[in-house]
Amino acid sequence: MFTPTALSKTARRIAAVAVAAGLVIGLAACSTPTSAGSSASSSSSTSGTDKGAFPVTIKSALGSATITKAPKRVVTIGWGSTDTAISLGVVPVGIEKQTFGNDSTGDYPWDTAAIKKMGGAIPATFNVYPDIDVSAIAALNPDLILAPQSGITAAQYKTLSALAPTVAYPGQPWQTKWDTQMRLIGKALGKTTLVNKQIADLKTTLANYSTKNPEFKGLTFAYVYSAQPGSLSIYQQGDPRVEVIKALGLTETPSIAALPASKDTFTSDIGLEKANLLDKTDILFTWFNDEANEKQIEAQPLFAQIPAVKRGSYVPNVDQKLAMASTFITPLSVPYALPRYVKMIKKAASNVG
Amino acid sequence: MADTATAAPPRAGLSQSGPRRASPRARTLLPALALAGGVLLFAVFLSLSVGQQHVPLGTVWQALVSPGHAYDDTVVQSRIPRTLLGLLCGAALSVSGVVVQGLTRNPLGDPGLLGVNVGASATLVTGIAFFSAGTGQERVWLALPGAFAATAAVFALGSGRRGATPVRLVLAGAVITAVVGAYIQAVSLSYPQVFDDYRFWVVGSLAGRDASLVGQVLPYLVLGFALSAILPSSLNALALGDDTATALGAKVGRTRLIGGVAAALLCAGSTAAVGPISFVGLAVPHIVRSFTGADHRWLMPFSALVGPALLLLADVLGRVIAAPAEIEVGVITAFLGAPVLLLAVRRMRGRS
Amino acid sequence: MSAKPLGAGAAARPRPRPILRAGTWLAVPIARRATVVGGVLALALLAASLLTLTLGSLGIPLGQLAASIAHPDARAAFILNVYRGPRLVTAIGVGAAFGVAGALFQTVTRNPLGSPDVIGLSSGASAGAATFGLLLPGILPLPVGALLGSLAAIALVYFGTGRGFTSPSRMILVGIGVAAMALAYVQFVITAVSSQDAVVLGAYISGTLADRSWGDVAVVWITIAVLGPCALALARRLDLIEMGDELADALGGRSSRTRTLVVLTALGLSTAAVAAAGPISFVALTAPQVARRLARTPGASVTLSALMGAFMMVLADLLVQQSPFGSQLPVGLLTACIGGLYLGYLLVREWKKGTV
Repeated sequence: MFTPTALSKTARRIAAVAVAAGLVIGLAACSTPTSAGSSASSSSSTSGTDKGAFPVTIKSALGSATITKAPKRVVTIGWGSTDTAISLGVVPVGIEKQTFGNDSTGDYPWDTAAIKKMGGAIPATFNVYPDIDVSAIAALNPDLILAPQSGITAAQYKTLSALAPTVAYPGQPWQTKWDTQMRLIGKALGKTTLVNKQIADLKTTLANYSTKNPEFKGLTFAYVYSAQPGSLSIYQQGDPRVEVIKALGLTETPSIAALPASKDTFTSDIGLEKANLLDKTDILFTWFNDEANEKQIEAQPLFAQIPAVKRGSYVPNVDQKLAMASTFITPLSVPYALPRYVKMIKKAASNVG
Repeated sequence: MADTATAAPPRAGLSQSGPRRASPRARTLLPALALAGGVLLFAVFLSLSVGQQHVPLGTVWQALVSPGHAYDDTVVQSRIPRTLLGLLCGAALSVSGVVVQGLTRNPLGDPGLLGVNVGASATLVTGIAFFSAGTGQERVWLALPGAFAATAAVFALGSGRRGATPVRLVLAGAVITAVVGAYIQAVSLSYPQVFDDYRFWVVGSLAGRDASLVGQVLPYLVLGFALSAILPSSLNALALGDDTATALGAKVGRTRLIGGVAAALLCAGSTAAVGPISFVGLAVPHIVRSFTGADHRWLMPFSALVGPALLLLADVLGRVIAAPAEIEVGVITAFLGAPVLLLAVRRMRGRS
Repeated sequence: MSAKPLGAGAAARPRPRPILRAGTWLAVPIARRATVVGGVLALALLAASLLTLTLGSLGIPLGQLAASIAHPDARAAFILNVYRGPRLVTAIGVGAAFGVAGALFQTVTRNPLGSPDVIGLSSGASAGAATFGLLLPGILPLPVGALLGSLAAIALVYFGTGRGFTSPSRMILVGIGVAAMALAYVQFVITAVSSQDAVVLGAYISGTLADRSWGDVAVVWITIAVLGPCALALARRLDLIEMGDELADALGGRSSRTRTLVVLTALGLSTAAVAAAGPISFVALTAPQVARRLARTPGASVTLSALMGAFMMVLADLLVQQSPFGSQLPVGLLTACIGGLYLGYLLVREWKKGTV
C-alpha cells in the first residue's frame, strides 16, 4: 500500500541510520527522571535539512514559534501533521490519540505502516478531549509541537508554547489548506526544499490519476454530509475532501459551488428538503459513521430520491479509515486512500447517464 | 425553592364549578375549545406546507389524498412523521406539565424537573459511548429505561416519611439532575464522537424522524394520557394543600403515584421520540390557565390542544427563521416559552 | 453599630459573643467554634494547595518546593508560572469568591438554594462565551464574552422582576426563565458549530481551570480585593436582615437598600469568578451551607464561606488533575457532582429527622 513518493531508497537507508543515531542521542539526553519515564524514543532524520534553516521563526494566528535547531522530539496535534512529519523523515515522539479511523496504536494505519517501514518507534499517544493532557506531553520532553491543522485555543497555545515552540494554524482553527500545512511543517523541520518537492510530487500523483481516468473529466460532483436525519450540508471548495476529488478531474456542480459557505467553514447547509438542488449532480459523495448510520440516512425518502443515489452514481464512504484518509492530502494518506477511492469513483461513474 | 413551590395557589378549588355544573363557564369555554382545535388544524397544515421547500396548500392536499412521485409529494410525505410526532409529543408534554404542576403545586413545574430528560440522556450517552448503540430506532429503547429510572429515583429521594412533598420533589429533581448531568457531560466530552451525536439529540428536534417512531412510543403515550384523564378532580383537591385534601377525603398518596407514573410515561415517551424539548410542559399550562382558571378539568383538555399547536408552530418557525438551515424546535420553544414565564412572574402578586 | 441590638435580636444564640475591635471601624463578633473551624479550613486549604503543586508526574517534591519557588529551573518555572501556579491561585480566588457570593445570596434570599447559578448568571456567562467564542470569534476574548453574557442575564433579571433586586423570590423565578433561555441558546450554538468547536465550548461551559494564566488570577483577585471588604461590612447588616425585614427596618437596617447592595456585591464577585474559570456550579450553593453546619453559626459567615469555597475548589481541581483518565475533565463537573450528592445527603438526613 505504501508507495514512497518522496523517500528514495537511499534516503530511507540514511533515515534508518539516523534513527539509530537519534536513539542513542535520545537515550543519552534522557537523564532527567521525567523524560526517562517516556518509552517513546526520538527518531528523526537530518537528511534533507536545508543549510541555515535554523533558527527559524514561524508565525501563526496564536503567536510565533522560534525553533533554534533541528527538532528531534516532535509532538503533533490535529490532523495530517503526523503524516507530513513522518514523510519528511521525522517520526513524532507523541501524537494526539485519534478516535476515528484509527488503528490499535491510536494513529492512522498509513502512519503506522510508514513508521514500521522506517524502523521508527510507534509514537506515544495522549488525549486532547476535553482538554489537552499537558502532563503527558511534558513527559515526552518535546522540542517542537506541530498543530497547524487543529483547534487548539489561545489558552492551550500559551501552555504548550511554554513547553516547546508550538506551530498553530495561520488563519482559523481547522481551516489550514493542505499545501500550507505541509509548507509550515517543512519550514519548522528545516526541510523546505524537501517539502516543496513532496508537494509537487503529490500534485503530480493526483494529476496522474486524472490522466489515467479521462472519463472523470466533465463529470460533476457534490460531496454532501448529513449530520442528522433531516439535515444536508455540502462540503465546498477548500475542504480537502473536495480538493482531492477536484484534483482527480471532476468538477463541482456549478449551482452547488455557487452556494455561499457558512462563516469560517468550508460547508454550506442546505437542509434535506432542498435535496432537489442535487438533481443535476453526476456523482454524489458522502460519508457515514457506520452502516447503521448509513441505513438511517438512506432510508429517508428525500435522500433516496436524489437521482445520483437512485442510479448508483453514488460514493458512500462507510470505512472510517478510508473516509479519514480521503479527508487529508498528505504524502502518506493519498497513496493509502486513492487506489481504493478511485476504484469506487470509477464504479459510480459507470452508472452515470 | 421553598418560596416558589407553594406560590400561586390555584384560584379554583373543589367547591368551584366544574364543566357540568357551571353552564355559564362552559358556554364561554366550549367555543374556546373549538377555536383551539381550529388553531391546531391550521398548525397541522402549516407544518405540512412550510419549510425549506415551500409547498402550496392545494398541493399539500393533493399529496395527502392521491400522492404521486413529484418532488413536492415526497417533501410533503417526509413531513408527515414530524407532524404526527409534533401532535403527539406536544400533547404529551403539555399534559404532563399540567400533572407535574398540579402534583408539586409549583407553577414552575416542568416534567424535566422529575429527571426524565437527564435520565434519558444518561442511558443514551452510555449506550452510544460504550456499546456503540444508538442509531435511529435503538434510541427509544435506550432512552426509555433511563427516563423511568431517573423519575423513580427522584420520587424515592423526594418521598419523606409522609410521602412526597412538592419541595422535596423539586429538590430531589435538582439533585438527580446535577449528579447525572455531570456524568453525561463527563462521558460526552471525553468521546468527541459521542458529543457530536449527543449535541443534536439534546436540543430536541422533530426533523428527519422516522414514521416508525410513532408506533414505538404510542403505547407509552396512550397509557399516559389514559392515566392523566382520571386525574383532574384529584389534582383539584391536591391544590388545596395535602391536609385539606386529605380532610376532604382525597387520596393524596395515590394521586401522587398515579400522577407521577402518568407524567413519566408521557414525558419519557416524548423525550425518547424527539429528544428533550423544553418549556412546552412549563409554558402551555401557564398560557391555558390564564383563560381557563386553575380547574384541571378544563386545564387538561385545553393543554392537550394548545400544546401540539404551539409545538407545531414552533417547528414551522424553526424551519423558516434561519433558512436554509433549520433551527431545532427545542430552541424555538425555549425562546417562546421563557417570555411567557417572565410574564407569569410579573403578574404574580407581591409576595416576597 | 453597637452590640446591643444585635444581642437583643439574636435570641437563638446560646450566649453573647466576644467582639474583636480595631479602632472604631471594625468590629467582628467572635465565636470560638467558628474560629476553630476557620483555622482547620485554612490548614486544609494549605494542605490541598501543597498537594496540588507536589503530586503527579509534573509535581515538585515538597522538599524542593521552597527552593524552586525562589530559584526555579526551566521545569519548575513551567509548573509554577504556567501549568499549576496560576491554576491554583485562580482556584483559590474563584472558590472564595463563589463562597462569599453564595453566603450573601442565601442570606438575602432567605433560601438555602439561593445562589448566583439560580438567577441565571452562569447560564448567561455560557451564552456570552458561546456568542463571542464561536459565533463571532475574534472580536472579544472568551472570558470577556462570558462577562458580557452574565451582565446581560443580570440585566434581564433586574428588569424582568419589575422591581429590581428587592424581591428575592421573583429574582429566582425570573432567573430560572433567563437561565433556561440562555441554555437553549447555548445548545443551539453547540449544534450550529463544528464538532471540534462544540467540544471546546462544552468543556468551557462546564467550568474549567485548565490553562489558566496570571491574567485570570488578576481578574478574580482584584475583584476580591475591592469587594471582599464590602462583603464583610455588609455581612453585619445581613445579620439584621436575617431577623426579618420589619425588625431590621425598626433597628435601622434599611433592608431594601442593603439588599440591593448585597446582591450587587455578590454579583460582582461571582461574575469575576465566572470570567476567570467559567460557570462552575454548586460551589456558591454548597460552600456556605457546609461552613454554616460545621461552625454551627446561625447565619452564613462570609469568612468561613470564603475558606470553604476555596478549599472545595482546590480539592476538586486536585482530584480532576490527578484523575486516572489521562485527560482532564472540567472541574465544574466534579463540583456539580459533589454539590448534588451533598444536597441529596441533606434530603436523606432531613427525611430521617422528618423535618421536610
